[in-house]
Amino acid sequence: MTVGQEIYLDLMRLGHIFSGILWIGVLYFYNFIQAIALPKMEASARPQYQVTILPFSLLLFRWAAASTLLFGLLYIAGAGLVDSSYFETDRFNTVAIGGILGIIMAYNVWFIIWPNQKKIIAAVQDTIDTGAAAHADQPKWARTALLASRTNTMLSIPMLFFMVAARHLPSLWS
Amino acid sequence: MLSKPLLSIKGTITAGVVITIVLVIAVRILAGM
Repeated sequence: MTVGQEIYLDLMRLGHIFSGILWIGVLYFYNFIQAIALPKMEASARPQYQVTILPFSLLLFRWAAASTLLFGLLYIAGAGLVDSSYFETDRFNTVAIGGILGIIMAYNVWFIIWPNQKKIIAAVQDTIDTGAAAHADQPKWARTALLASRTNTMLSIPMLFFMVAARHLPSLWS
Repeated sequence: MLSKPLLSIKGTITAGVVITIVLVIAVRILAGM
Protein backbone atom coordinates (compact mmCIF):
# COMPACT_ATOMS: atom_id res chain seq x y z
CA MET A 1 0.00 0.00 0.00
CA THR A 2 1.37 3.45 -0.91
CA VAL A 3 1.59 6.35 1.55
CA GLY A 4 -1.15 8.15 -0.42
CA GLN A 5 -3.49 5.17 -0.09
CA GLU A 6 -2.74 4.94 3.65
CA ILE A 7 -3.51 8.64 4.09
CA TYR A 8 -6.75 8.32 2.10
CA LEU A 9 -7.94 5.40 4.25
CA ASP A 10 -6.97 7.23 7.45
CA LEU A 11 -8.92 10.33 6.40
CA MET A 12 -12.00 8.26 5.51
CA ARG A 13 -11.67 6.43 8.83
CA LEU A 14 -11.37 9.73 10.74
CA GLY A 15 -14.37 11.24 8.93
CA HIS A 16 -16.41 8.08 9.56
CA ILE A 17 -15.57 7.96 13.28
CA PHE A 18 -16.16 11.69 13.88
CA SER A 19 -19.47 11.84 11.95
CA GLY A 20 -20.59 8.57 13.51
CA ILE A 21 -19.98 9.76 17.07
CA LEU A 22 -21.75 13.06 16.31
CA TRP A 23 -24.72 11.19 14.81
CA ILE A 24 -25.13 8.63 17.57
CA GLY A 25 -24.39 11.28 20.22
CA VAL A 26 -27.35 13.36 19.03
CA LEU A 27 -29.48 10.19 18.71
CA TYR A 28 -28.71 9.30 22.33
CA PHE A 29 -29.43 12.88 23.41
CA TYR A 30 -32.89 12.64 21.79
CA ASN A 31 -33.65 9.27 23.36
CA PHE A 32 -31.98 9.40 26.76
CA ILE A 33 -32.35 13.12 27.56
CA GLN A 34 -34.85 15.00 25.38
CA ALA A 35 -37.58 12.30 25.39
CA ILE A 36 -37.54 12.30 29.19
CA ALA A 37 -36.87 15.97 29.93
CA LEU A 38 -38.99 17.72 27.27
CA PRO A 39 -42.38 16.58 28.66
CA LYS A 40 -41.25 18.00 32.04
CA MET A 41 -40.59 21.42 30.50
CA GLU A 42 -43.29 24.01 31.09
CA ALA A 43 -45.82 23.66 28.26
CA SER A 44 -45.53 27.33 27.31
CA ALA A 45 -41.72 27.03 26.87
CA ARG A 46 -41.77 23.83 24.81
CA PRO A 47 -42.63 25.40 21.41
CA GLN A 48 -39.56 27.68 21.72
CA TYR A 49 -37.37 24.62 22.15
CA GLN A 50 -39.06 22.94 19.20
CA VAL A 51 -38.36 25.83 16.80
CA THR A 52 -34.80 26.69 17.97
CA ILE A 53 -32.79 23.78 19.41
CA LEU A 54 -34.69 21.00 17.63
CA PRO A 55 -34.22 22.21 14.00
CA PHE A 56 -30.53 22.94 14.59
CA SER A 57 -29.86 19.58 16.25
CA LEU A 58 -31.81 17.81 13.47
CA LEU A 59 -29.66 19.57 10.87
CA LEU A 60 -26.48 18.21 12.49
CA PHE A 61 -28.17 14.86 13.08
CA ARG A 62 -29.21 14.10 9.51
CA TRP A 63 -26.03 15.39 7.86
CA ALA A 64 -23.88 13.51 10.37
CA ALA A 65 -25.86 10.38 9.41
CA ALA A 66 -25.28 11.04 5.70
CA SER A 67 -21.57 11.74 6.09
CA THR A 68 -21.04 8.70 8.32
CA LEU A 69 -22.51 6.56 5.55
CA LEU A 70 -20.52 8.35 2.83
CA PHE A 71 -17.16 8.12 4.65
CA GLY A 72 -17.81 4.47 5.48
CA LEU A 73 -18.60 3.59 1.86
CA LEU A 74 -15.58 5.58 0.60
CA TYR A 75 -13.39 3.69 3.07
CA ILE A 76 -14.70 0.29 1.95
CA ALA A 77 -14.39 1.24 -1.74
CA GLY A 78 -10.81 2.43 -1.16
CA ALA A 79 -9.81 -0.62 0.87
CA GLY A 80 -11.32 -2.89 -1.81
CA LEU A 81 -9.53 -1.08 -4.63
CA VAL A 82 -6.17 -1.30 -2.84
CA ASP A 83 -6.64 -5.01 -2.12
CA SER A 84 -9.67 -6.85 -3.50
CA SER A 85 -9.12 -9.72 -1.04
CA TYR A 86 -10.37 -7.25 1.64
CA PHE A 87 -13.91 -8.34 0.77
CA GLU A 88 -13.09 -11.92 1.75
CA THR A 89 -11.73 -11.07 5.18
CA ASP A 90 -13.41 -11.67 8.54
CA ARG A 91 -12.86 -7.98 9.21
CA PHE A 92 -15.02 -7.04 6.24
CA ASN A 93 -17.72 -9.58 7.17
CA THR A 94 -17.95 -8.11 10.67
CA VAL A 95 -17.94 -4.50 9.49
CA ALA A 96 -20.59 -5.37 6.86
CA ILE A 97 -23.02 -6.51 9.60
CA GLY A 98 -22.56 -3.14 11.33
CA GLY A 99 -22.77 -1.41 7.95
CA ILE A 100 -26.11 -2.99 7.03
CA LEU A 101 -27.55 -1.91 10.40
CA GLY A 102 -26.08 1.58 9.85
CA ILE A 103 -27.67 1.85 6.39
CA ILE A 104 -31.08 0.93 7.84
CA MET A 105 -30.55 3.58 10.53
CA ALA A 106 -29.55 6.29 8.03
CA TYR A 107 -32.65 5.44 5.98
CA ASN A 108 -34.79 5.89 9.11
CA VAL A 109 -33.19 9.28 9.77
CA TRP A 110 -33.71 10.67 6.27
CA PHE A 111 -37.00 9.09 5.28
CA ILE A 112 -38.95 8.67 8.54
CA ILE A 113 -37.57 10.79 11.40
CA TRP A 114 -36.70 13.96 9.45
CA PRO A 115 -39.88 14.24 7.31
CA ASN A 116 -42.06 13.80 10.41
CA GLN A 117 -40.02 16.17 12.57
CA LYS A 118 -40.09 18.73 9.74
CA LYS A 119 -43.90 18.64 9.76
CA ILE A 120 -43.95 18.99 13.57
CA ILE A 121 -41.57 21.98 13.51
CA ALA A 122 -43.60 23.71 10.77
CA ALA A 123 -46.84 23.13 12.69
CA VAL A 124 -45.37 24.44 15.96
CA GLN A 125 -43.97 27.49 14.13
CA ASP A 126 -47.41 28.07 12.61
CA THR A 127 -48.99 27.94 16.06
CA ILE A 128 -46.44 30.47 17.38
CA ASP A 129 -46.90 32.82 14.40
CA THR A 130 -50.67 32.71 13.95
CA GLY A 131 -51.93 31.36 17.26
CA ALA A 132 -53.60 28.52 15.37
CA ALA A 133 -54.47 25.38 17.29
CA ALA A 134 -51.98 22.51 17.18
CA HIS A 135 -52.31 20.40 14.02
CA ALA A 136 -54.53 17.35 14.56
CA ASP A 137 -51.93 14.99 13.04
CA GLN A 138 -49.12 16.19 15.31
CA PRO A 139 -49.37 13.26 17.80
CA LYS A 140 -49.31 10.82 14.85
CA TRP A 141 -46.14 12.42 13.38
CA ALA A 142 -44.52 12.47 16.82
CA ARG A 143 -45.28 8.80 17.40
CA THR A 144 -43.91 7.74 14.01
CA ALA A 145 -40.72 9.76 14.57
CA LEU A 146 -40.37 8.41 18.11
CA LEU A 147 -40.69 4.78 17.02
CA ALA A 148 -38.12 5.26 14.23
CA SER A 149 -35.79 7.01 16.68
CA ARG A 150 -36.20 4.20 19.23
CA THR A 151 -35.62 1.64 16.45
CA ASN A 152 -32.34 3.39 15.66
CA THR A 153 -31.34 3.43 19.34
CA MET A 154 -32.05 -0.32 19.49
CA LEU A 155 -30.09 -0.99 16.27
CA SER A 156 -27.20 1.23 17.38
CA ILE A 157 -26.26 -1.34 20.05
CA PRO A 158 -25.45 -4.24 17.65
CA MET A 159 -24.23 -1.73 15.02
CA LEU A 160 -21.59 -0.28 17.38
CA PHE A 161 -20.66 -3.74 18.64
CA PHE A 162 -19.92 -5.07 15.14
CA MET A 163 -18.16 -1.87 13.99
CA VAL A 164 -15.76 -2.11 16.94
CA ALA A 165 -15.57 -5.94 16.82
CA ALA A 166 -14.20 -5.78 13.26
CA ARG A 167 -10.92 -4.53 14.75
CA HIS A 168 -11.09 -5.55 18.38
CA LEU A 169 -12.66 -9.00 18.25
CA PRO A 170 -10.73 -10.82 15.52
CA SER A 171 -11.69 -14.22 16.99
CA LEU A 172 -15.40 -13.67 16.21
CA TRP A 173 -15.32 -15.86 13.07
CA SER A 174 -12.81 -18.45 14.30
CA MET B 1 -46.71 -5.94 18.60
CA LEU B 2 -43.15 -5.56 17.38
CA SER B 3 -43.05 -1.92 18.44
CA LYS B 4 -44.00 -2.69 22.04
CA PRO B 5 -40.45 -2.87 23.51
CA LEU B 6 -39.68 0.47 21.79
CA LEU B 7 -42.26 2.29 23.89
CA SER B 8 -39.80 2.47 26.81
CA ILE B 9 -36.07 3.21 27.00
CA LYS B 10 -35.50 0.04 29.03
CA GLY B 11 -37.31 -2.07 26.42
CA THR B 12 -35.33 -0.39 23.62
CA ILE B 13 -31.96 -1.15 25.25
CA THR B 14 -33.02 -4.71 26.15
CA ALA B 15 -34.12 -5.34 22.54
CA GLY B 16 -30.79 -3.95 21.28
CA VAL B 17 -28.79 -6.21 23.60
CA VAL B 18 -30.88 -9.25 22.61
CA ILE B 19 -30.33 -8.53 18.89
CA THR B 20 -26.58 -8.19 19.53
CA ILE B 21 -26.42 -11.53 21.36
CA VAL B 22 -28.48 -13.28 18.66
CA LEU B 23 -26.24 -11.90 15.88
CA VAL B 24 -23.03 -12.85 17.72
CA ILE B 25 -24.31 -16.40 18.28
CA ALA B 26 -25.39 -16.61 14.62
CA VAL B 27 -21.95 -15.48 13.44
CA ARG B 28 -20.20 -17.98 15.73
CA ILE B 29 -22.45 -20.81 14.49
CA LEU B 30 -21.78 -19.75 10.86
CA ALA B 31 -18.05 -19.62 11.56
CA GLY B 32 -18.11 -23.10 13.07
CA MET B 33 -19.78 -24.68 10.05
